[in-house]
Amino acid sequence: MKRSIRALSLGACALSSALLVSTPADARIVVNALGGEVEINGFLSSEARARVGSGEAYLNQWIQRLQIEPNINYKDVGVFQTLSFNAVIRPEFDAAYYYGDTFGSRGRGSNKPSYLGYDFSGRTDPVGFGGFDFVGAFVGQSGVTTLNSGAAGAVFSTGGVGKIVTNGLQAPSWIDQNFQSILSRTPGGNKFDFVPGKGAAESGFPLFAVTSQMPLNCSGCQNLDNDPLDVAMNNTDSNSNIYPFRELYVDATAGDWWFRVGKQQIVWGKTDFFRLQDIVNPVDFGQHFFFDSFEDIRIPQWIASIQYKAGDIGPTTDNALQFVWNFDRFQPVGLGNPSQGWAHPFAMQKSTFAGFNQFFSVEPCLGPNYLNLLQSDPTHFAPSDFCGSAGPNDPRSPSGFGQPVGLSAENRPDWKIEHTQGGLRWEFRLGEVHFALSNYSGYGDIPVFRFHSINIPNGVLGASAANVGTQDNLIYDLVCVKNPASPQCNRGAAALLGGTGQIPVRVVEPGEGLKAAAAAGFVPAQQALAANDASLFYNTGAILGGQVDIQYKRRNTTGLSFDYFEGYTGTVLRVESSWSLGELVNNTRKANWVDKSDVMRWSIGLDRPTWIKWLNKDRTFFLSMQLFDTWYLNHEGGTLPGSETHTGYYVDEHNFITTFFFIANYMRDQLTPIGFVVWEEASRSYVAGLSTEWKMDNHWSIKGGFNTIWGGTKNFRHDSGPFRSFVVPGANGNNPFQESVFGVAHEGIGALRGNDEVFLQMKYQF
Amino acid sequence: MKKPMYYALLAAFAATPLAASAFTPDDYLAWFKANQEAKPQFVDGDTITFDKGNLIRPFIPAEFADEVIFQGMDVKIKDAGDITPSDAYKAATEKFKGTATIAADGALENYTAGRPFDPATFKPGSKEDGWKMVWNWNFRWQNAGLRVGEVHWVWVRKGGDHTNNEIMSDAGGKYKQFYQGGGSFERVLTGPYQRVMFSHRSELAATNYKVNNGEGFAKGTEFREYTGFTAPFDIAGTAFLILRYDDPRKTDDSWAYIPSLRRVRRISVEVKSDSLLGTDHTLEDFYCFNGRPLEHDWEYVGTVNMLAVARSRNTHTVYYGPNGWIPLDDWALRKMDVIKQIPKRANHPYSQKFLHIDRDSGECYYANSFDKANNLWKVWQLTKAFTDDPQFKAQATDFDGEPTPAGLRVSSFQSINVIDLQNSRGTLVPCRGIGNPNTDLNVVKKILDVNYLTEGR
Repeated sequence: MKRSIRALSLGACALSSALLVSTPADARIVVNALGGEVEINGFLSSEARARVGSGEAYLNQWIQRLQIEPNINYKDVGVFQTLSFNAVIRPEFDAAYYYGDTFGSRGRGSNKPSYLGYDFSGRTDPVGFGGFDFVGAFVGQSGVTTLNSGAAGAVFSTGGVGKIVTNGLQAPSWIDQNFQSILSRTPGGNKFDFVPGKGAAESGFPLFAVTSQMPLNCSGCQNLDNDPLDVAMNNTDSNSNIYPFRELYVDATAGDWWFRVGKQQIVWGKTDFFRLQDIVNPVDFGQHFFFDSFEDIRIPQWIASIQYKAGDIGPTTDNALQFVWNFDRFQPVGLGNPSQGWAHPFAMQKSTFAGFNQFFSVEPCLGPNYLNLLQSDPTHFAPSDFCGSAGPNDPRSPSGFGQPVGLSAENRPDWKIEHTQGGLRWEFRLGEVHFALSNYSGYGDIPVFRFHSINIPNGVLGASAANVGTQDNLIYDLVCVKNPASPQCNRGAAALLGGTGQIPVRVVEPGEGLKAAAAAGFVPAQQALAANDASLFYNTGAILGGQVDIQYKRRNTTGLSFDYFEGYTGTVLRVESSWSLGELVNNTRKANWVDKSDVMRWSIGLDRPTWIKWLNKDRTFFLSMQLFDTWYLNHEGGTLPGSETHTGYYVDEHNFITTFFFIANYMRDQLTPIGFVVWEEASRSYVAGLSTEWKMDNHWSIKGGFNTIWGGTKNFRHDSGPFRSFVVPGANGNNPFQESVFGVAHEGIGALRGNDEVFLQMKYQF
Repeated sequence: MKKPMYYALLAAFAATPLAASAFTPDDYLAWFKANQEAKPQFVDGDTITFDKGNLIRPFIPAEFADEVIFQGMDVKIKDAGDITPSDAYKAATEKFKGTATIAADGALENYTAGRPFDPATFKPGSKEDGWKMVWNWNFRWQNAGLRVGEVHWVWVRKGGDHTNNEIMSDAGGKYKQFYQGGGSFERVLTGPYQRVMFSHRSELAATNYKVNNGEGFAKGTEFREYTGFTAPFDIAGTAFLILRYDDPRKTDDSWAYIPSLRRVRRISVEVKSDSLLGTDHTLEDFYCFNGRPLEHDWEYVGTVNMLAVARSRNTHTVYYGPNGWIPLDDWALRKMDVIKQIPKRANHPYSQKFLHIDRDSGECYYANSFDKANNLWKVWQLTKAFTDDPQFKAQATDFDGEPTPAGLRVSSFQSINVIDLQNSRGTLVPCRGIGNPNTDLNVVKKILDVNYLTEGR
């Protein structure tokens, strides 16, 4: 069915394009049909975006987009003065993504990393690639850093994605086609590099991210393993609801009542670029960050909206009361499929931890390259030790460590009536000030990661281990588990780790585990409990990872905004605020990383048309400036004294962002330059862009420009929690504060700085 | 040099093609002075063709004459007859005669309804009379205000032709008949418009000359004005709402629905000298002058007889001429009061502008503006239709219009056409489906309520 829809969409796209180009087209098409007036308009565009940052240039996206907006309008139908049926149909196709290998781009078929990453190998991510092989460097063992050395070059037989290749289950090209290494900055700001036999100069916690659409074991996880054609068509999980119908709704008015039911966008608030009251619909930032208009990246949902224009009430005028009921299934904010050109780093990290669950949580097995053990050591090795022996659905993999780790589920609320969302907005004018008061009960759409289990070595828990959680084993070498007397098990790295090939662990709920460790006399755990700061426990590195899921929680958000026009200066003042109670947030000082905070968001905006005569004597420049803040009222954590390291919340208590943009018009508004600058104070990062659109006539237009991101290079380290043990030590120490997992958040906008682009768009509208 | 001789010489220079020299306000005034007492050498029913073009030069401002006089011209002289306003307006004028005053800053005070001041008493050169005249213009007879089912905003460039422009074939070619002649069209916008007056309504004596007695939605309001756009796609759904307060010292409030934002945005329209959407009009040029009088100084210049399309014979404006920006219609010789508008703000693009307002109907038919170097920049020519004429009634419901009740005697707005003489281009703004309907408060609230703007795309 999905294939049929895709094929139809592509066909419709191609046919419409041919028709539009080949026949003289009127402005919008208006005909009397179906008993009413049928109006069809829309556009066809082709936009090429080339990444030009960081020394390498390639075609990042080349999006062909067809948007058709049919509507049928009726008058005086029953009680309704107007009745209309409306749709926005938008199939699109990113040729650069789908033919990535042809264009030298990223995306499907590409074997190159994204703007954020490097080739995935034992040098760029030794843990993800070679599991515990990195320990070999401490005793001069080379370990597996390239794939050409095969099984013989590995320190351990299992553990790490690279072992899938060294065990003979995949060709070396499989690695380049499916993975990249990301977040490779060391605390010193250098690129992490693990040299065979020597180790790393500085500690680091790079991550592998999945670049293809391989299935990942993450229940309910969105935008991870889509079909490449779906990704190219932007038919990802964020946008797949009756794709390519972006919007489909019925509109009706009856006196002072306005009804709209269907798949639609509801836009509240007065702030540009930020969402304070504008939270009814989520937004997909994975398409093109925030560079596209929110109209294009807001995710339409099935909503019923009723507005009553009440006119005058007491001293207030222009009263309107709007009730919205979002009866769609909750949809979180879109961060992109990890392989998309503008996927957010968090989207890539999502694939990392889903990849942990896919590749590391499973029990290990041996591949064809170890078949000789069946003959050489039949006492210890059996066919059942080999991958696939349990049948076609054998979940085991040579990459596995056999303990739960990574992202196991995205707990998006199911569709139930009680999970639907809704709110009210009251707009009114009091004198010259126009107010909007809103209240919305809905789910926070930013994913929050929760540890639902951590892996505590039995040794930490001592005698009480048997009473805590469930028993499991972290297997770092299956060969050593099967035969501890194997030659490689009593020397080198294996000997360092005890030679048994496994570490017994208790899989336990984080809070329970912390208490148990404290009770067992583990001093850091006792300190953590006393300080109510679990990072003191995790930063010891004693914990061997854990398993997370993504949580969403309902919150209540009350918003108030107003605008006022000051005549003397000719300036419009816009103020908006929102207050969310009990918003779910990540806090690495909590045992499960989850906390709640009341959050206040506010913005002040100033708009002013201004003459700059020496630049344009005929038209004013529209100038707009905003100051925006997110204030976490229950903020915990921050920068540790004397360093640029963080624990606790991965955001600061205040996060100020300042924006400035201008719109100019030349040639009787046929030439429109637009520019903007954004400064994010906490991360010290910037975004700027400039574009110019030339409307040649009523149909054709060309737009070109660039977007650039810089800064955010400092202040990027956060504690790694239960993944502290995954940090690879360096010659200069073993620093728990890394760019992964949450350190990248401190880079803010700057986290995408390698993705500077120039773009060119041609558009035909009808 | 004696003044009459001075002006005569200037008028002689003014008659030469503009390209030969810069045309200044003095040149315009020279034509004005020289032709104030001119007697027409044509009679009602004459058709002026190119060979007789000079007959109309005394009655067409010098800077505009060469646009009207061209090979192939067809200027039909037809007396507009009695186009004075309705009896209600006249009654209010009589009732409140002598009560309105001008404050020190030029604001109108103690005004209720009707025409505030008698222009017969105005003296040329008087600044106070300039204020009086502009308030007369501001409170001219409009019934409840203008409603237009479909406005076209046509970007025209001098020369070339527009035969192949899509507007000529749009909607089965129904617009083709209106756009004759030459000129190349660069862009065409389409959309509805409505203005509703809420106070000083001569016909609402029963409610204190205000809608709803000046309470609620109408409180403190002179008018609300809605301008929408339905095509082309890049602007479709955009709509503007302007609220002009009854207090002349209060700045306008304005909102815009921006489709790409999907929300209403408070905007500033106080830079009224800014171009209106890239047209050759500024925000205050619509209607001839649509701004706030207190932002300018005013001077009464005097009266002159001019030819104008004061009572169109067509249902809609028909354009013709080598550049397609002159109306093909009946031209009536009308007595006009001329006032000079002098912007107060130093950054205003005009140094001065002259408005030409019909003594009887109170409507404006012509204006010209000069840049900061005092060179002629733009000329505006407006056509009017009389609401009691059969051809006006015939177009009433075309193009989504609303009928105007009989007997209202409004000189309704049919088109405004500006020519930028410095840049050889212009903007035509023909209006179709026009009317000055009576308005139901419950209906107009729906259209002119800020919250209505969100019922957009």
